[in-house]
Amino acid sequence: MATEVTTVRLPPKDTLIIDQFVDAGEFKSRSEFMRFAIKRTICELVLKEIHEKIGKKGKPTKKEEEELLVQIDEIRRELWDRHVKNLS
Amino acid sequence: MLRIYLDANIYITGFNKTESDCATILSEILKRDVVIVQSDHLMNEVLDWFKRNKGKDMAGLVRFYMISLPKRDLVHNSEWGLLVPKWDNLIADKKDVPHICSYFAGECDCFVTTNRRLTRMKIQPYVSFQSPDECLNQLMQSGNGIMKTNESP
Repeated sequence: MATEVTTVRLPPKDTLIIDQFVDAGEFKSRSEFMRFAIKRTICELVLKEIHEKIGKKGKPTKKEEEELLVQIDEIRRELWDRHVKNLS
Repeated sequence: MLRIYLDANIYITGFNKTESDCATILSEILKRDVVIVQSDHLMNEVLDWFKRNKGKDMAGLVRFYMISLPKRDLVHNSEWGLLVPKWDNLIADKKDVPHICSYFAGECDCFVTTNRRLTRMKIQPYVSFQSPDECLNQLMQSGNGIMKTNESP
């Protein structure tokens, strides 16, 4: 995995807390803690954005579930056919 | 640590229906001590659906979520492809082969899907299929908060 060095300025109490997690073996290093925290935050924000843009309230109805499975099946078949074609 | 393969329908329903079990799964996996196994085939399937139904920009956001998961293991074509001869005779519909073989290649503990057709295949005794509801129950029992990562620096 290619990485880039970025300096992050943190309050001393936060670095102390991070170091405690590292000492406890929860993370290998401060860097690993930061990578984990950043990825998790990205996912939370992106999920929120997707829900705000396209999300509909409520649970899917049986009909909606079945329609979705039909659409996925169609895509799945196309991708499988493409995969087989690439192999031959 | 629990290793989970989420079928394409879980991602699609979870992004589209904010109060569904699938949506709760997509947010809980960020907080729990679990590894999410994905394959290139699965990514293409989910992104294809979003491109067709919600546009390229939305597909881009979905891709961003999927590749940013803190504990994610990606199974490549070359890995699941090796297992095809071993399992394909137990999989009635060949288009499901990449997903089942990715489950095995990723050494998963469960395969979460809303597709009951899959769960009735001959392969059923070898795959731990779970409904979104069952997966949520299991997630709630797994560790939470800060978790270990096994990613190399």
